Amino acid sequence: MTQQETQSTKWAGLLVGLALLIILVVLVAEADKWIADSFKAQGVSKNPLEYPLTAVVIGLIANAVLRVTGLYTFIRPAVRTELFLKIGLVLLGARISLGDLLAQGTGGLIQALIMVASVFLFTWWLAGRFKLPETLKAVMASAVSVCGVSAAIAAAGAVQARKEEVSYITTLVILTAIPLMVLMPWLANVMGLNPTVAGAWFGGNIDTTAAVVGAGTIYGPEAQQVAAVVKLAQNVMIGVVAFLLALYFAMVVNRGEGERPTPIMIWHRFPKFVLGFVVVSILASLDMFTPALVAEIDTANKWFFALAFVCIGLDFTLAELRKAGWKPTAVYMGATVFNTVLALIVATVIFGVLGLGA
Amino acid sequence: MTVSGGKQRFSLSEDWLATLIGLGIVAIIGFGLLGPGGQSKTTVVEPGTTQVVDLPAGDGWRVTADVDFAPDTTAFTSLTAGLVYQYGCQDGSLTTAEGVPDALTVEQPPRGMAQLWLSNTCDTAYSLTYKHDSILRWPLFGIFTR
Repeated sequence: MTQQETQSTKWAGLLVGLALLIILVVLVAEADKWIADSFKAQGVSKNPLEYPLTAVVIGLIANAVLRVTGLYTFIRPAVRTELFLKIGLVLLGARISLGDLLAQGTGGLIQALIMVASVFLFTWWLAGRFKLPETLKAVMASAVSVCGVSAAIAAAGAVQARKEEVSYITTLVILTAIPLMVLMPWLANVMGLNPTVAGAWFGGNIDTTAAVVGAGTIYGPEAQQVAAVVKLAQNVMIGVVAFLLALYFAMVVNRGEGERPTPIMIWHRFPKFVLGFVVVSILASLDMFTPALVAEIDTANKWFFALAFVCIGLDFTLAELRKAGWKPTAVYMGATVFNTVLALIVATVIFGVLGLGA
Repeated sequence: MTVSGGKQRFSLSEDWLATLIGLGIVAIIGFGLLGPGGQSKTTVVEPGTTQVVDLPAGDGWRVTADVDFAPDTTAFTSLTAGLVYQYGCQDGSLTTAEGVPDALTVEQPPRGMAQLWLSNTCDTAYSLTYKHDSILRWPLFGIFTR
């Protein structure tokens, strides 16, 4: 196949894939309405199976069907989980005033500093005990401690990890994120956590931002808002982590060979969509949106989040996991348990006891 | 954001792309780049005074007031560009009339706008609210808000 033909196939796959994603989101909305109506008929006013879960399940079913029919690779260019999520997060800014953003963002940054440092070092130590390669250690520790797939990619670039290591960590991130997205709101409910603490817990623990937003959505709008802001605070740390990793690899692992990283790397790795989110939040704080407009922007936001949730299901694959063996999986699971417990303690102290973000 | 060498191909990082698309959507919906955008205008009319309000012409306005009236039959929910719509308060109820009031010099509303004349001959103040959703409320877009 010539390069031009490959490009044409890619574009065709993108367009067909996008059309398919829109159909799947419509299906999610229809299924969600049907589920909500069914619960209402039983006297349950709030649908306990919120749309993120419905979307992931529909994504998983579509994933299986597309693989069986051999169409998966063709539509793959349209499966852009991170892009859809980031657009959704920019739009979420319309619902968050600057005051809330500063309060929750300050709490989120303090929590992020504690969580990223502790979870990164714990994962690094645990991976060392299991004698994992240095590059895999770096990619895994960044993914668990910062923000899942994006952090894994940024860290891989900084330490020049192998592509398979990134694919492997991506699989682990999604594999743990889907159950956590459902289990954590349930656990928070059992523990009677208030929405702010619950949101901070989800934001501090679940690796991938899409699942953080999903868990928050399942728990309620306030939890979704706090979860997203806390996760964004964690996301902005990725530049610093990537820079420090690159420095460590240049100075220690590769013993001064190769190029030494410069601080500009922090800006290069900075998640720029956060700026879009802040701009929209400032516009909202200046009363530039009427309530009707916020409702409309919120609808657009739901569309993009639903697209991201469907893509989580479409992204899922177990093939990489089989190749890597049990050791990295065990380390990742151990780090996730540590992350879950520590995030609960830190979120309770910062957002519950100290009342930051309230 | 990068410009790769050779053919000078422009490419945008995912982060910037998401930011631009997100802000673009906010601009389209929020600032009404494809239409007037969402509107909400509340006017308080004190006894013995008259207020003039310009609003974008269009159908589908929702009207509410804190005095006695039947919004479905009485209120002007379709506004035509260049026309003037009158509201008044008489004996505690809202009254309506279309067209330029007699013996009053009326400034033409700006292009594409309709004008509301709100007068009050009652003893107390009343408020009237005109609301309009933005233009994107089409069935497929609104599937999550049914």
